Amino acid sequence: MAAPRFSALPAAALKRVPLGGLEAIYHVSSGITHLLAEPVPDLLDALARLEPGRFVTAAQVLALVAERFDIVGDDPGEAPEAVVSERLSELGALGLVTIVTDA
Amino acid sequence: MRHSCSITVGPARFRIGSDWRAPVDQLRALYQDYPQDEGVPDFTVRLQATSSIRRLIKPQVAIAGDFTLPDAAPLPLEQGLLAAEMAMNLQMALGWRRHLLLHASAVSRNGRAVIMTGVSGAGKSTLSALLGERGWRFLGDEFVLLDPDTGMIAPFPRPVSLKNTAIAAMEREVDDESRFGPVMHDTPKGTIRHLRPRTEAVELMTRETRPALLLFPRFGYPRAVRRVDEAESFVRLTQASTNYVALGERGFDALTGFVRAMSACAIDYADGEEGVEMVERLWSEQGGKVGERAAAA
Repeated sequence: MAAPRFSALPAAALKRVPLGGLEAIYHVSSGITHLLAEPVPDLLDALARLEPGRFVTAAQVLALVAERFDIVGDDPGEAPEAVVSERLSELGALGLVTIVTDA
Repeated sequence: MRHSCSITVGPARFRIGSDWRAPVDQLRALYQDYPQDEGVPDFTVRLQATSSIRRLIKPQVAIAGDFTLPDAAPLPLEQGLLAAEMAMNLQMALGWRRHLLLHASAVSRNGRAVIMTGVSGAGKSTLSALLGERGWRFLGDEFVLLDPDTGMIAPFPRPVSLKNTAIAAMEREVDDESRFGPVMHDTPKGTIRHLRPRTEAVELMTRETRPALLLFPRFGYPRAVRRVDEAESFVRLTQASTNYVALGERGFDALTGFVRAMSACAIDYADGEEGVEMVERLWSEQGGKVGERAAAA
């Protein structure tokens, strides 16, 4: 199966406010508030810096945030891009990023 | 309804109708300092008999009005005043949309407010009542009304609902018996007695105040102070708000702006005296400074 690819929502879809080390995110269309810890807001930032509508793989997102984060999984054997993919998939399930999986 | 009165508290006007005279007379006495002019009410409350025979024999007061809870148990007529207070709270909690409502008490000094929030029994009512007798302006013991557009607090200085041991504590503090309502025993929350705020608090209830210090008090524990960060304050206040979800984006903007402008602490205190002293100390250390920052923002 092809790896999923991820894209940011339109800028107006989310309101984001840093609160200390966490970030409160209001999802405008659902009216739900989320409170996220790093590096998750940085993953959203990385996607948001790309041109609108562009989809990228977890490995590409990892490259975008690698300067700031040394991402490791709970299991030392887990590949960093798998960790990023899991976090982005969770964000997708919350409706905070868009996911496509090519056939 | 056979009997009725109108009461304005802060920005909200209530019309209370009743099948019996006694609760209305008690309300008029307890709210004697408040505007009682008739006009278009924001909310209507009705205290009505559970059946026609129950108006006269072992009368039971059922709460009705614009907003009701389907399974609310009726109260005996002797607790009719409590039924009216509960009904007014319910209207605010379920129906008010002009402000973000926080289940909290508040007092102010020099135009800046201390907000105190916590679960029922944490002591926020008693602490605000004590401070209200000791040089602070009492803003409310039940709801804090945060204006989403300005970030200001609209006072809502209802009579303080004193419960159990807090009754004797405030009877020692206030030597004016006329400010107290009737003692109501065996209510769902034990013994309850209402205390009308000082006249100045009512006279100034249309004057908004800028929030400066957020406290999470806990009564009956050894003295302790802990800083509370913005994220924890935010989560606890979403839980303490009755209309955060209903306000949507306005609620999010209001609450994130609020917690970012505040200095916040959790305080544990053993008794009322210690609580007052801790609030005074935190205010002198942090409240004024934070208030200036919030005012400049």
